[in-house]
Amino acid sequence: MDEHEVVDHDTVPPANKGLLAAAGVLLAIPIVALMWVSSYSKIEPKLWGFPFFIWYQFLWVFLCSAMTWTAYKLVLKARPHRPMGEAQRRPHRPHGGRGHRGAATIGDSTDADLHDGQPFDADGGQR
Amino acid sequence: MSNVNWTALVILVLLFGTVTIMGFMATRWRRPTSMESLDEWGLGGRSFGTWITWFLLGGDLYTAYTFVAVPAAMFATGAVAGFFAVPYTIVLYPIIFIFMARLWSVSHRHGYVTPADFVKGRYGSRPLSLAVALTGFLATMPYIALQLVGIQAVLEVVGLGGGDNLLAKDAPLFIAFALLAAYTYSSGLRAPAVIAFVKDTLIYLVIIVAIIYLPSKVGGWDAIFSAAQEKMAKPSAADPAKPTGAFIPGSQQMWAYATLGLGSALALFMYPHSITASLSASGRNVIRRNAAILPAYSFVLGLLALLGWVAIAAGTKPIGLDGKPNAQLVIPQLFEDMFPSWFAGVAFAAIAIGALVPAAIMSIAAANTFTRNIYKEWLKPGATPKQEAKVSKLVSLVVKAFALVFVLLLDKQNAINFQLLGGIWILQTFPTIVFGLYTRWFHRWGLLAGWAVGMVYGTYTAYNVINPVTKGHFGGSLSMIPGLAQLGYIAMTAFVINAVIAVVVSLALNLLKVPNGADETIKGDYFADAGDPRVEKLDVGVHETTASP
Repeated sequence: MDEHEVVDHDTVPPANKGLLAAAGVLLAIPIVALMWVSSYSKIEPKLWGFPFFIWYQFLWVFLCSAMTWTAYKLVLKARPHRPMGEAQRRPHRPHGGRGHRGAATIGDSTDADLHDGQPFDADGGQR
Repeated sequence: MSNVNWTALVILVLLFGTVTIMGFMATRWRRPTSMESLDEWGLGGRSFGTWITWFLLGGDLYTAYTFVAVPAAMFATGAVAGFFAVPYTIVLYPIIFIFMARLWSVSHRHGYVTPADFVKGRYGSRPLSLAVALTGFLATMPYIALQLVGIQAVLEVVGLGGGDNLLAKDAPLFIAFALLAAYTYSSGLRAPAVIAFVKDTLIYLVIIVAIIYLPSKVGGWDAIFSAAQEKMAKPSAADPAKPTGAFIPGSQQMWAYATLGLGSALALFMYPHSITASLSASGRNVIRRNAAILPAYSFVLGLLALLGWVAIAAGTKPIGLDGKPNAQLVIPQLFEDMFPSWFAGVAFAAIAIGALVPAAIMSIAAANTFTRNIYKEWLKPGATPKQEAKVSKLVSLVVKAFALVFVLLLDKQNAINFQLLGGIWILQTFPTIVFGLYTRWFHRWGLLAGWAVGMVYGTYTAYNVINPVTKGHFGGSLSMIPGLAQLGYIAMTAFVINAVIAVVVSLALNLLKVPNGADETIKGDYFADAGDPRVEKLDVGVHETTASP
């Protein structure tokens, strides 16, 4: 994309729908599995003395974690971040339009808080 | 005071004191230019990253609920009453993964600190925003009350308090309450963030020791599950026609188990404190990454729940200082019976501090909501940031005082019910907040109507649940699901009614073309991330520009 192209930010950023759907399915699986109580409300087979009911739900802690992590990776790939930079600005709004509704109020690029260059900072403590 | 466990008490006081001092010193940590704006005091300057957020969420979510209320429910009536917390805290993460990033983005773009801020911006409706704010404020109180019950349980087992005099009986509770109030007041969210590290370290230490040591001491997991199964099958003391509880959910309890789990999961991230913590994250994707790493806490929660059954096998007798059995004391009592005094003291400190941190976070969040969405919106529109911060601090004290009233007035025997009661209320804000993150199809009056009916139905139905032992109202959170002849969590039934009404009324109002308020957000706002420019909406006056009918 041409970096000087004006982006209409009142749109949903483009995404790979297939990947998003796959992530959605991954997120839905643990919910469906655990809400289907009759599928696991039984004592046998036991594992190390734990009734099936107990260890099966413990197992889902890890399965759900793995699925959520995979969904996280898929979502990052499916919809790359579309920056809301200068292209956001529309002409003829010399005062920045603060207090008015709509997109033109945004764009206070002097806001140092958001320009620390660490969009994914892990510890955030550098400011 | 003859049966005070002095060693445990000294350790408890020492650790508690250390944490309190850390709380006061937290004000200096990552020192902001001024503590006197709401953004700094309430959200720690919004500069927390993955790890601190992780600890904060842990401090937030895993609380006296986890290590007092849930094991107590497991001990008293088994899996349906207690173990649903495990599926609850598992399905929680896929659910927040889906919508929380959107809420983070739009909040960051528009300077929203509370869910009610978002609702006001999204729907341009002051009444709907007020409904959300009031619900958040109200629902947080029983949740804080649950934390105070946790602290009280520890102090009671260690031997403090007791006696017939109301003041003497609850004196330690008042002391803990005062400490909590003092350091929250002075440091804001920064205090819980620092303390969360200490708290989580202590809790993990105690849990690891408890889970490795205790089961072998009482004869292994086989013996534990046998003892639990036996106890749950015995006739109930309150009603001999029924069994004591459920070892695993029976065919008539599947719906109860599933709806308790799902309802609690949907409700949790509607609480102002959960949203505060999420908004503290430094980026949109921090929340999603957290959703993948937080289940470590769910596993811990499951193990803690099973300690309730370990106590059955150990023959723990949780007797209160008034001489009556009180299931809420079971975990502290188990620790006191089984551990050397000094380690019991460490464990008690873990429980007490573990209740303190979330209580602080919750009261701050409720206070923020009150200040922004009630005080500033309705009572004093021209308030300066300094006045806002001052009111927030005061209200955070008030909300704790209300919680104290809950503890003193309501039945403490079934503390998990405090949290479930809060869930019934807070879940009624879900359609407004979460549906609103995706669509503007819903009409503000439709959502308000759904909310009102859900609140009335939920409160009325919960009020009519009679405790089988005390015969008091608000005795539980399960009732018949209309049309299903199965027990279910009242919050879910009310939620479904709420959503249906919201759809029907919205449809009608949209067909009639009734104006649906002004939306100040744009689609791109829901995908914004750190690094994008944002509006500073904390400026005085901005909130008043949206017309309200």
